[in-house]
Amino acid sequence: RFNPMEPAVPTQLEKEKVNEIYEKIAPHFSATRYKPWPLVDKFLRELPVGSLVADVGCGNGKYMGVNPNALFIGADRSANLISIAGKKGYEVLVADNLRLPYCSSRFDYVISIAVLHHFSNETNRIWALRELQRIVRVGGQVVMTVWAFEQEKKKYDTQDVMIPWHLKPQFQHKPKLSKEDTITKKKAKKEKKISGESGAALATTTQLEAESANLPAESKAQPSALRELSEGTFEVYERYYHLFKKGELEELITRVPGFEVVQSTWDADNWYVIAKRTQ
Amino acid sequence: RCFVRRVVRSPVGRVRRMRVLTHNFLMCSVRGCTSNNYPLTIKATQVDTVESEFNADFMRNMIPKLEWNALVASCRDLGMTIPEALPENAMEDETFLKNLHHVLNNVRIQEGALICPNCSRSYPVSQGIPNMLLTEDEV
Repeated sequence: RFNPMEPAVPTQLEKEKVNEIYEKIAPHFSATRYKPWPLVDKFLRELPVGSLVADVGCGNGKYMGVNPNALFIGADRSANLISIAGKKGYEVLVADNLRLPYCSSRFDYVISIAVLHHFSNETNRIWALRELQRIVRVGGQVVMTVWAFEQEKKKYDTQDVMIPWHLKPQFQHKPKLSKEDTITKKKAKKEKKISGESGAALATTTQLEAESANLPAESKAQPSALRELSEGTFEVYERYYHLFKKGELEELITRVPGFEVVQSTWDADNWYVIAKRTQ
Repeated sequence: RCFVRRVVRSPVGRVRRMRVLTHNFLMCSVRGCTSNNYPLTIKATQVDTVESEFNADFMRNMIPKLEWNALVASCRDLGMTIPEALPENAMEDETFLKNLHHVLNNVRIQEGALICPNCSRSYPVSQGIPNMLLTEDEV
């Protein structure tokens, strides 16, 4: 039950299956996040000159350069992703969506792109929304996207799911092997896959397909992941997602005082919702 | 036509960031720290200056969004002086706007800390990135 007096903290699940994972996969994750999503891209390009935008959960800063006439300030919990965003010259800081270090009512716009689906209970989801509403000025708009339960190709049984991330060998932190060891290791893996482990290999491929099917269109431009399966060892990390059902995010927004839904669209397996701060 | 604001990188190739502008929006969010938690005091050990393109419209639209007193305090922390109050003809005074642009966008806090005047919590700034994450006790 949501208790506004009780401050929200990351749950164990969020710590282990979201926050820590992003720290581990940051460079690889960043490499696959380069193409802004058309709906968000369009929204940002149309902002007035001098607009102040908070990107909460900015990751590698993908959206922060879309409109050079607006000032973006990005925050993310992953120091590694923020470091990548920072190298691009953006104004970024490390902070938690549940407790933003921003003064209230200062931003013209807030964007929350693929973030809210990482909170593992309703309390944290509502707290995150309250923070977004708090920092935007009255009359300002908050643009949110979350992964949808209703997807084009995949049918989920439950809303709370673990989506695997296959960390490519070149992005892994491994002690350096000698050349001989590397060749032996790769040979051993190949043989393993051909002989008894074919079942497991199949499952992994299916997972990859499932993952690429679930991702928004921009991430599908990385087919090499499938080809490289036989070329080295992938470390697999599971990330927690709460997939939103139709109307669910909108209902949570009604539970935040002074926050109203302006627009709601399903697009490419995601819910795209714009809310306005009314008081 | 809109200007593209570019950060000119230093010869070493390292990016300089944390604008004074960003500082204007940051406060202490430790549990219970709800008064006198803004603006944060700047204790900088490394401050760099870059060049970036000036856009008068951008500055005019940004001015109403600033907390002027906090800006005065942050400049003082950094050894700069700006008018105590926003001048009446600020919007038309291009020299003023250019100077303000320099303060807000070109002065970069690369290393140091942001300190809460109320609870003394120190938020480190490293490579121009503030770390505002709280510990579980502070939340």
